[in-house]
Amino acid sequence: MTYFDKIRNALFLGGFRLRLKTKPEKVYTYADFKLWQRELIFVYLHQHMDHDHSQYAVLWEDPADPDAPAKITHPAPIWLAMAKCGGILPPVEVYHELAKDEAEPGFKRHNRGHLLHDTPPVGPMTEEQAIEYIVKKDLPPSVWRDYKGNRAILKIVRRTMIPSDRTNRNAWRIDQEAS
Amino acid sequence: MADYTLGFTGAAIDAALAYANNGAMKVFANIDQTAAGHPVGQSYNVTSTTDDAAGRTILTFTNVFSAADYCPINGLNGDISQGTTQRGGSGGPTGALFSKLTTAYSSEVINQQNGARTDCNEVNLGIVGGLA
Repeated sequence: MTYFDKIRNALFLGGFRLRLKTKPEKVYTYADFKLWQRELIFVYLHQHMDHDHSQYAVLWEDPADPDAPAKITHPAPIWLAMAKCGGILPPVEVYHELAKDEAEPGFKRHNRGHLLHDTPPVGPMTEEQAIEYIVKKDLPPSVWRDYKGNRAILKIVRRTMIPSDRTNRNAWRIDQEAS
Repeated sequence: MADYTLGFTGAAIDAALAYANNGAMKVFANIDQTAAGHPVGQSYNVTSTTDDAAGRTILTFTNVFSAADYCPINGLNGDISQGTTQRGGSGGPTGALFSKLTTAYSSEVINQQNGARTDCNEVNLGIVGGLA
């Protein structure tokens, strides 16, 4: 065996041993990262995908401001894609806890932000479940939970049902006749 | 000669880079106010947009801010951007400055001639600040 053969064998065996000793690469899940990092990772992993707008919109009126026009809430396409993916977003109750903290007199800064990152994320949602999540997260509880009046102030509609002519936008109200 | 530090540990790197972390954009959104719901095109850290009225959009955040002292950067790039100004919205249900909550931000486009809110087909918004 020549000197070069010895070296080659040593390298080969060394490499072989190295392969045997190498631990399998750790596979991460979104839950291993902070919430804001999860969106960055999600966008990176799905950068070649088009994320569609939801076919739904939430039409609502604020009982605290009865003269205000109806409002229309619509999810961001990336957020909707993350909701459908699952394992990324925290349970909606986390946002309620943080909103409670912010409503405290003298609030300056969140001390329980870790709830967003450490609470086990919710699983994949359908588009309809995602819209319900948004209703609970982004609308005041006085609209979706506490309202006791007869007037319909909350409706989930298809976006195609909303007028495209916005000339009188500030006079829009929810149609009480439509089912 | 000053006593510069040439060697440092991972802890120092983490601490130093935390500054860049705080300086990075934490929200961005490209909003079309002329469509129902004021839908966003490109966005980061935005859960939803609310078409609050003509020219007024409320954005809600996926990862809330640690405090409401973040720095919004508003910009218009639409057909009607001349003669208009963009500002943080005001006059929320509580009468407080609704435009800045840790969970949401309201942006308004105002026609400078008559003071009325006006829809703009491309409202751009970025926010810098510390996340919770």
